[in-house]
Amino acid sequence: MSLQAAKDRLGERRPHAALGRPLLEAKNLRCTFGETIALDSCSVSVVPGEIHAVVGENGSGKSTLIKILSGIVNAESGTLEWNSEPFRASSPRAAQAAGIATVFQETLILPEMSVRDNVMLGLDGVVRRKTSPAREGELVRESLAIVGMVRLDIDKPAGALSLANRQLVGVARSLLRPWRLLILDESTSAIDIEDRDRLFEALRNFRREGRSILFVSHRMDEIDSLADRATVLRSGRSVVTLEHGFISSETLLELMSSRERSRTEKGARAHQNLGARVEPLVTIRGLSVRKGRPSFDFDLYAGEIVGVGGLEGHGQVAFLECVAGSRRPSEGAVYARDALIRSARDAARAKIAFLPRDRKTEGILAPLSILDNVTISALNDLARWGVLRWGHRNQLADQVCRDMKVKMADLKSPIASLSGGNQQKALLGRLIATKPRVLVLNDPMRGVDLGAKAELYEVLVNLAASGVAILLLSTELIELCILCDRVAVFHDHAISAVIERDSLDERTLIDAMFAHRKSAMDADEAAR
Amino acid sequence: MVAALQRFHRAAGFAVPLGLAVALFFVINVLIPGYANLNSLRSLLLLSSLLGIAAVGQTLTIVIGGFDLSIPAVIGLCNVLFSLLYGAGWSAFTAIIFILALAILIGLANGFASRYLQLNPLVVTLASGSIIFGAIWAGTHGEVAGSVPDWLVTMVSVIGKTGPIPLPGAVVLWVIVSAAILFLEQRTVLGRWIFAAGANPRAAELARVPMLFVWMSVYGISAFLAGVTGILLAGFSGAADPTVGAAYLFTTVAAVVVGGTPLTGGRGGYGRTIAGCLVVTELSTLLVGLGLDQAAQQIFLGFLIVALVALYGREPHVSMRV
Repeated sequence: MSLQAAKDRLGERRPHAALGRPLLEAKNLRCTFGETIALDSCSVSVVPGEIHAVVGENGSGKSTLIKILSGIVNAESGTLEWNSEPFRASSPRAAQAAGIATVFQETLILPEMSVRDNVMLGLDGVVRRKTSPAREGELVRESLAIVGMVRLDIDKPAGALSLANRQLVGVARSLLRPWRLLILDESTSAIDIEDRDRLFEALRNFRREGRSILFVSHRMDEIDSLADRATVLRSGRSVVTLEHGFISSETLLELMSSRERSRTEKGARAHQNLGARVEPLVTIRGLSVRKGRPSFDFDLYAGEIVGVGGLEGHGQVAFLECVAGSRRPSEGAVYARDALIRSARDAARAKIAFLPRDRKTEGILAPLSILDNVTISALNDLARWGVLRWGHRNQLADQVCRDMKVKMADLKSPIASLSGGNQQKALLGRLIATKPRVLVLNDPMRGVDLGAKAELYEVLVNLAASGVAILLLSTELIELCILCDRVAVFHDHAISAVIERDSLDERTLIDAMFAHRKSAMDADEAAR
Repeated sequence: MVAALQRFHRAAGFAVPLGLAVALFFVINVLIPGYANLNSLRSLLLLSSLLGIAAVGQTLTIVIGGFDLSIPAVIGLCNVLFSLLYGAGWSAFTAIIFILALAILIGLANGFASRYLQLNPLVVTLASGSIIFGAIWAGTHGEVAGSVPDWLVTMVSVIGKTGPIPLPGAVVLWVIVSAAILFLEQRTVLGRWIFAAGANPRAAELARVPMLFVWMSVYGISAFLAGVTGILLAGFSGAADPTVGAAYLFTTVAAVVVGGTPLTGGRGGYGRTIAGCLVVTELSTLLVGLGLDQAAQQIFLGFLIVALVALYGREPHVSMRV
């Protein structure tokens, strides 16, 4: 992009370098949790009237940074300045008093309470005593209107709202406080495009008023349409802060991923398509994962790795759950060969194994041994009349752990004693132990260290080579590019493009993610 | 000090409650001169065996992350029914089969309601206990005329023998039940499923552990063994009493906790509860031996168990687990 073009794209945005005095200035923040270094040397500055994006991979320290700024976690070293004066957010209350309002990733909504009470939550002492119920309702409605929630009965329980609307209620709550810096920590992840546009319009208005916004996002489109500047974090360090005209997905991706990592990933053997797709293991017909959304067909063949990509919240996870039998599609059906998959039991019978996303809450059985964790799904194969056959369990677990290269003291030690990467290998081993024909994996490499990642890649490639079909959801584009024979890109709860190996690269994927209803052919052409 | 004790406790497994049981025996011997004789030991084992059989269900339901508050009611029901049916001329065998089948049905219903209907097991078992008690009173008006066979009386009498073994039948039965439950926990599919279900219900379900089956089995086992206890108690007192199981609510939970099975599920097991039963029985024996009346016994037993649990049965604090 030429400099002139970059300037043109700046549009109404002001050149911030010229603005001088920052509202918030954080320098060299460092924060550790035990052995883990969450933040190493992180600096970021926000000027008045700016929308500032923070980007980085999972585990790069974004959430820790937000928590320090909001007074939830204390930094070990480094300095914070607010209005050019030394400042320490020693508690959430102190941060709020200074004028920092934060909307967290997890929506803190009390489902039993009314929308009104949820918005007013925490303000009781300050406002309620002075406000009549009528005035209070007015305040709540005003602040909800700012985020685009106009026709809403504020006296109905917040639990009845959709996840997206609950997030918006969270935003509305923060807006009621007098604030000068609004921090959004991936608080838009569940919000639909339309609602998001309204929210963005509100954020732009705040910018015009001279207020500042710091937001964490994984979505390139958000960053592109909102941010004046973007600070890139990588393994706890702030790498660089980019001015708007210089923010592009390639630059960000390159900056976000360390050079070391790319080397490991390039070193992983690229998966070779085994040629003809002969034997469809899973047949999907007329599937619609959400009511009213378009339906689609898809076939998954033996021996291939099919990537599942798309911007967050476009129906990929629901699709995986349908294939794994843990969710009923709103229309259409999933067949494994000829058997209809309608429940997790059907899927198990058809040898479809599912790896959920969150290792801690959905994966490991923390108090139990590695032995138990690896074999729990395969116990029936190891028993006669419900009694475990002597030695069979140890033998299987031993075999699987060796195949998966799990580094451990012995099988009897608790799974919690393993590192994250090794836990993940053990969990994949749990699937392998059931001798699956189809693997459905929800972001298996998330939060896994580099070495373990490369080993997991190899395991997946070998499994595919042995005839297993793999459906792989990944939030990292490079992973999809390295591992997959083709990638199904989701948009608006349906497959919008299928990109074949020949034309598979990050550029094509990003184009497909943003292209509204482009056919696979178009995507191919765009790549050429 | 407490932290060190806790660490030692976790490392040593159920050696600690077992050691405590042995130590308590000597303490009692000092406090109540002339206690240490064969009959005292027999009676200790006999009382422990009744508690132990009833506490199986409490252990397993706690391991899967539940609770069984209906144990006293099931004990009472089976106690009354056995006296009634046997008194009415049923053969002991048919009566036992009928009663235990009924108990299992109650247990399955508890498990079904807790898991499938997603109701809190505390509420479910509290309610089913109340229903059962109500039914007993409605059916008997508090007066039960019945009788029990002589062999049942022998089974639970201190001087009773089991063939060549110089121990009452109830104790031998407890040994058999214990062995079966320990085998179930360690060497069967259901056993490992039970621990997985308690360790992380969401993960276990996604790992395709049949949760409903596990919950219904565990509650079925619990009610079944509560029923067995009820029948044994019929021989103990010689007459039927709907409230005979009342004491077993607190004592079963106490035995589990004193044994060291945490209420958070997925850990511990029946091995620990065996030792817990001995400790709890010894404590109540001690209080009886010191000449305390029923009310005072209850008060002191409550305090003693809280003290014991505070000493070593506690969950480690969050800060020690992170």
